[in-house]
Amino acid sequence: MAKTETIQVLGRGTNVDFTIDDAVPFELAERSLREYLMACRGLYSRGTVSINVGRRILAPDQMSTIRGILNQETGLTVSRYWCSPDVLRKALDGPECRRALPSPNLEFAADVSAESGNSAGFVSPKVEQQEEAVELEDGVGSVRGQGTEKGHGQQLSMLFPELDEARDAALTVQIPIVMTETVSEPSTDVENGKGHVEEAPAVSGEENVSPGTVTSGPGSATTEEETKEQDAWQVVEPPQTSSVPENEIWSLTDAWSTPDDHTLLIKHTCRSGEVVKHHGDVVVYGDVNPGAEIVAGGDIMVLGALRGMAHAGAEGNPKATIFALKLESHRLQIGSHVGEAPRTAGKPKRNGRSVNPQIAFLRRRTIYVAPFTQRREEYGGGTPYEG
Amino acid sequence: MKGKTIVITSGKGGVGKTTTTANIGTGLALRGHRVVVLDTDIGLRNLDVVMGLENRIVYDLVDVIEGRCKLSQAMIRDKHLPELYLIPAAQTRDKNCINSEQLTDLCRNLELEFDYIIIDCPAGIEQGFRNAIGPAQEAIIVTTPEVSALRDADRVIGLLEASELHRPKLIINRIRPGMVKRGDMLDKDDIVDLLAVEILGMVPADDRLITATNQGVPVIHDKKAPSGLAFSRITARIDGDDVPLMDLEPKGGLMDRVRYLMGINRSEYTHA
Repeated sequence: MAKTETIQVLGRGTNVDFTIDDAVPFELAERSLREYLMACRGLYSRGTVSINVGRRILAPDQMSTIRGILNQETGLTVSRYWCSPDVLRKALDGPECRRALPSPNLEFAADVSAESGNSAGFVSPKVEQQEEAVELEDGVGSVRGQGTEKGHGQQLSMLFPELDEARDAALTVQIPIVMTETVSEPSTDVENGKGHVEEAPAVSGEENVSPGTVTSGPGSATTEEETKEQDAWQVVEPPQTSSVPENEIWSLTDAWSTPDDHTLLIKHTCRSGEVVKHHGDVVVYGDVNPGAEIVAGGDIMVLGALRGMAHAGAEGNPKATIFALKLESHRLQIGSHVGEAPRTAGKPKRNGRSVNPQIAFLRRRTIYVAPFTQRREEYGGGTPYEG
Repeated sequence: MKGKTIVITSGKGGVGKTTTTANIGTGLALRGHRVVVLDTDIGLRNLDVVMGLENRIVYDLVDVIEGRCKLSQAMIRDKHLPELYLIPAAQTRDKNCINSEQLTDLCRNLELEFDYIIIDCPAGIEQGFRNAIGPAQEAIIVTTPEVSALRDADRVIGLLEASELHRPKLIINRIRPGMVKRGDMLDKDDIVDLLAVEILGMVPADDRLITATNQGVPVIHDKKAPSGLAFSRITARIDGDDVPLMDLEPKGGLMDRVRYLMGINRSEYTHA
């Protein structure tokens, strides 16, 4: 964990979170970043790096400055940008937002569903795109820059929240941008020593087997009406061979289940190796075992024990929460923030079948876990899960 | 009469799949069934050694599948039990030289003549695993009370469920009751809570098992070995007998208990 005046770097394992103070002038931030990276040159080799620039709006030249600094100091090459749907829509509307867009030459393509699997913020180092293009579908934009890819990519998600404070909260604009990067010279990472088991399924490529990976159906068009909400729920039955060809069972389905943001209902225990990615909320009737991964654009609710990796608000929603009847995960992620369970001294207590509903939420860029109360306002205390 | 094909699998290596296969096969044969044990760990065969039959191998599984010999020629009769046969794996080939359909055909043929076909699955979740679970109607997961083995077992259960082998049963191998009691080892409830599968039995860690394995005699023949007794009970459960699950207890005797409390646990296991 390192700290300078304007750049805060929180890192554990393969996750590093850069926070740039948005109150200082850009030049100072730029200098601090450069100084920091120079000070710890050779430290970064792989993992998820996110840069949080707070409320700052970055102009293209400022972005390229940051990119340049990273490239120069750590040998990283920016390969990919990613924007969430509503952000891009807003960004295309507002004139002041336009300058925040990374690339002027936008192309529109119909199909980016395959792209979504490699979307922002997820540990998916096998990004192979090399072309330079911007693709848009249903407002899902992904801007990709030139990149040289090797086995281990590095991702950098930049958040550009709230372009215009005066606007309505609902119109809050966020531009999470992910740069997938490659380190030119491999180096030893001190922090990488504490590697995460959870990362393994994502890394191991095509041979990876994830039988129960949930892929929900195409679902009806999203409607705002409450009456149609019920129909929109998708129920996922336990995986069955009969309906799926054998070769599909053995291949890693790493893609988002559906572009819809309905609630996904999983009616079985998520076992090791299973990856569930869903744009909306995810509810699991059962346990999430170690080695399983739930990535949701919205909230995650586990009606059982949560022992695997859970990532709520994966599209950059800091208000997402993770609820579980037994919250036993060692690592949680909300938005771009990663939290690790505090190391409890001594043996883990055996609580058997007893249930202790807990909720994880983000407060001041730190994930806290507190006993579940019905009223959100009461989430005062809680144990910090520091990243 | 139609036989039943059971696959013994674990995901992780070294948890005792082969030993379990040998003992369950022997146990079922001791109960009067006609049994074939089938080693599918092509390239790394062990089951013949554990059963003490490596000197008798002429033909192997790959020879049968590739049509170089008849099925009966590759079946090796056990030294002790006339109704127990072994089909060894090839040592010089690899797992990709056979496929799941071929093995399924083989097992369907065997099922016509035998009551139980016990398949020893290789470690891992690759081709060898897929071959081995193809023909199975039931699956038994072997695990040890360690988090690494449990993680792999959990993954394998997920894969089995995806392959329509629902409700696999669990054998917990190498339990040390003393350590469990001290809270230094995961106990049965922790494991069942995590894996959420039915437990078939628990096998205590046992020096006699190692001796027996090295001698090529399945430990189930040893009436004094706690692990052998555990395997007898597991076999009975597979065969449909209602044998209650016993909690493993550190062996009785005052001095043993004193030693155990002091942490000097020379003989901490008894039968399950």
